[in-house]
Amino acid sequence: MDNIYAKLYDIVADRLQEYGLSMAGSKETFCYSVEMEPGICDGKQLEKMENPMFLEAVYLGMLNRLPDEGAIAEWQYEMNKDADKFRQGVLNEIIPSTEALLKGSCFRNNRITESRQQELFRICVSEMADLNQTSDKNGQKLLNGLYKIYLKFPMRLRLMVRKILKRG
Amino acid sequence: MNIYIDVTRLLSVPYLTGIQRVVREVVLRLLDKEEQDIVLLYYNEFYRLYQQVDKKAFRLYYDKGEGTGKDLVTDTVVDWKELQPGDIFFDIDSVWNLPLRRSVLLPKLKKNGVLLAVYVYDIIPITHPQYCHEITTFNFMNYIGAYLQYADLLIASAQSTLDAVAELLEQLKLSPIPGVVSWLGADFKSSQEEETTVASDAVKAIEAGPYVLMVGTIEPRKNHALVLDAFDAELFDKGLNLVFAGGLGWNMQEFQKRIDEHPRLKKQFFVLHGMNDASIDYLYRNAYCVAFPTFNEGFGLPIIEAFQRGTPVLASDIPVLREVGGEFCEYFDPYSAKELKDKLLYWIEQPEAYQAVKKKVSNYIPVTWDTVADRIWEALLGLLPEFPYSIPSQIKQMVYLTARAEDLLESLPFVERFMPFIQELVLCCPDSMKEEMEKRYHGRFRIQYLTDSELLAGAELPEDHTRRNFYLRCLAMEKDKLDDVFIMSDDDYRPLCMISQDVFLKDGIYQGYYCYHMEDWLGNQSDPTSFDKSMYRTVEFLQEQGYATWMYDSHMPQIIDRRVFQEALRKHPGIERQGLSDWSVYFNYLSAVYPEKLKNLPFMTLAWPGDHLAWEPQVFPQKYLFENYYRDLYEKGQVFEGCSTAYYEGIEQENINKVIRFRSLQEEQELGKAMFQAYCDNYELIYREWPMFQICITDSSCEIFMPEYVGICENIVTRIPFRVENAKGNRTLQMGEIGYRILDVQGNPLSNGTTLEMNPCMECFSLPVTGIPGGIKGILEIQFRYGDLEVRKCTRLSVMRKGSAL
Repeated sequence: MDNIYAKLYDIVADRLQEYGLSMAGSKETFCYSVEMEPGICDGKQLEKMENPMFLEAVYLGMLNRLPDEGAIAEWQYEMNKDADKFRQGVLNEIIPSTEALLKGSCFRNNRITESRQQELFRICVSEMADLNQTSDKNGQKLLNGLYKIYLKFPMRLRLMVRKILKRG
Repeated sequence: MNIYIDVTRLLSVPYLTGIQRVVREVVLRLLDKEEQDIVLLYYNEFYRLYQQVDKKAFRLYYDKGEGTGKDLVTDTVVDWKELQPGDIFFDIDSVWNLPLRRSVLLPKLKKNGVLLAVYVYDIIPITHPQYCHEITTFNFMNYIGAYLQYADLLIASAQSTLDAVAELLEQLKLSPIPGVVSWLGADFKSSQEEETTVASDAVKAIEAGPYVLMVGTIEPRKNHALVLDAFDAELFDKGLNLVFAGGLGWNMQEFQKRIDEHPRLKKQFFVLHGMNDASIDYLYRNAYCVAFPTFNEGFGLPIIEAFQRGTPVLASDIPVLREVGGEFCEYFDPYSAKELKDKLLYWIEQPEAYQAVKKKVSNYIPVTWDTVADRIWEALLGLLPEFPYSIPSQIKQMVYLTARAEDLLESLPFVERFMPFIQELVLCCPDSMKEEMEKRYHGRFRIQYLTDSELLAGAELPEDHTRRNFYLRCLAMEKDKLDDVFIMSDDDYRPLCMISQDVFLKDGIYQGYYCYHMEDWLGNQSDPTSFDKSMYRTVEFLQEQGYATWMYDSHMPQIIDRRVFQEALRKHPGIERQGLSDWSVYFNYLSAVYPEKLKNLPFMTLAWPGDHLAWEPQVFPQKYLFENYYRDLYEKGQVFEGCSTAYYEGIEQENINKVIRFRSLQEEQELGKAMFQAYCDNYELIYREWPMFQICITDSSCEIFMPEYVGICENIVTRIPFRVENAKGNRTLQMGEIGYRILDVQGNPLSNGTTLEMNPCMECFSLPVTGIPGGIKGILEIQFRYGDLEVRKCTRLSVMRKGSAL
């Protein structure tokens, strides 16, 4: 079935080329989007994608749109970096974004970034190390307690907390 | 039969475009026809589900202008899985812009036997993508690609569109799809929110003098520039004015500049935005003529809208406009401003020629929306073929395929007591069993026999159990000892209470009982049984034929129309040797070919599965009419311990007790499933990610991926779904082992869990984890062993008390 979509893409791309125009989105991203469940981005197929297609696929999956010119320009510099760093950067930006949240989108099969809890834990631990906490165990207890409170926050507040901790 | 129509876009757009106006007109009229059969759907992007639209409120809002658009969507969820064979899913709106891609939705509906119909306005994003916004093209490709593969019916506004689609199908090497031309109506209703007064800008434009009118979005395809060129050349000087009524579309920045800087703007040249229907109507009626120089269209509504008001039209000489305008239009080359200008000059200089055209147009009989809706309705009903066979009013025969006289003799008293409408049996059995039955059976049924020697007539019997059964049943279908319509059963299916014929045949509709979606069937994951393998073969066959893939192996008697079964065998010669599931092949064939004759219902069998841990049910019976008899379940320590295996007078009460016992086990399973789902939903809420359980095997290593924490229910088996990625593919025959332990936070074991063999070639594996007495936080350790490779992974575990919210 994927072949039909790929053929369709080629037909349209050829026609656009006659007018000096190009397609929005790559063929790979288009074929990937064919099986994309609404509001769900499946990381399993993204791993083998090149960086530009990866960016398109994450936007499509999480935000149901292709990246606009501004977003592409913003990521252009990062795109030439190491693939792992680039992908982590994209996912860390898009997954917790307000737009993704408002669309109720979620990511599946994430083997690219560690989840938010780990990230928060690391951020908190590094902050607390700076404050010279007495022992790891006490720090751990305190952190667990704080984390429980954090879980009760509404989502918008949680995003704010993360942003504050990230900035340091 | 229900017709489902997605009206999300209609309910979402701030103002109605051409397509949404068509949707409004058609849907209102379809509701007039058979409101009870129509289900209007709204797609909720956030919750990723369909909600039902209140039809009464819809009518009031879009027909009478009463109420508000906000109250149309109800809280009733429509799960696509509920759509039945014979239901029709009809897309008529611009659904390519919705997040629910048709490439995802249509295969699922098809798998359920739903018929798919689509209204195709045009395929311009494919044939002329240079005229379309790139994102529209991207989305449209997905939509049309899906419908070209899965549609059962295309409805188009013009034959030219069907021709274009046929050409594309050929180019893609896909099969042709039946198509119907419905046209579009000219008698639009007024919008409920728009005022009935004519806008002052429109009045000013009309009062300025005779004008040529163009209606529609100003975009490259509509070719407004050509008309302005013709007017700039000479027509303005001849005293003719020009009116554009429509918003500015994409990619028109340069043209916008030309308009803004035009010297005759607001004197002889008027550009009107946001005109209501009353204003458009007024503009049409008072126009000198309408110009329609478009490069491509799906229909060309402005033509018939103009004709309806007696206004002449000058239109592009392209096939679709020739089809719509016929002899009533004047045509010109859309690339030649001179040709357009010359035609208008001719009319100006020869008023009698102009009057002749006007007179011709006054004879135009417009197609009404009622006619369009009738055509669409007939086309949709035409999807359901007539059933060519007569259905008997009485079913009297039950047919068994059996080799176990003892089991059958134990089951027959239940059938005699609880199925009084059955008068006779046909037993397909070994020759030796016939003799035994003749000696030992003394009940009320008249019995006919189809012995193996009679059925096989020298052919070899397959060794495998399911291959044998399917082969014998196929052979039996050709024998006249079987009635045209009968109840088919296995020797271990026992009715639990009084059963009427209505359970199988109601109001001339066959009732078919499903228990699973066959594509999801894993069965015995470590060592597939003969039954499991027949399921795998059957789903492959059904998918190849484009049939739905419901599993009807519900381990209860089911009604069979022998003529339909024979039809299936004729259509697929040779399948009798393929070891498929007779139940599932028959019912999925019936639903594909005669969907109106089948009502799909969830099964009603007790003790299927017999071992509630054997596999995870997808469908939970809400009623139990039959038992799938397993002797083991009556032994000590089992669910039916102490109950009678044989029939006795008054067994009804004991059957009720058996149902209560089994139901409590089932409720536990349902609870476990629900609580695991709640955990997944909560995980998604926190992390915006779905919890991932995965095993990856490469040549030199294996790795387990787990989420940050897992939530399961206390004392209940929770099936955790693992994805398996095996780089070795099917090259390996070695089995793997997967197991788990539950530890406390110090690492001390709380439960030793279990270890299972698993086939690493399977893409999915379901690990049953038994929760310990609850309310604890601990650690779940997963171990995986495959040859020399061994890996363990731990994650946080939360064992929840039954019924507690996460």
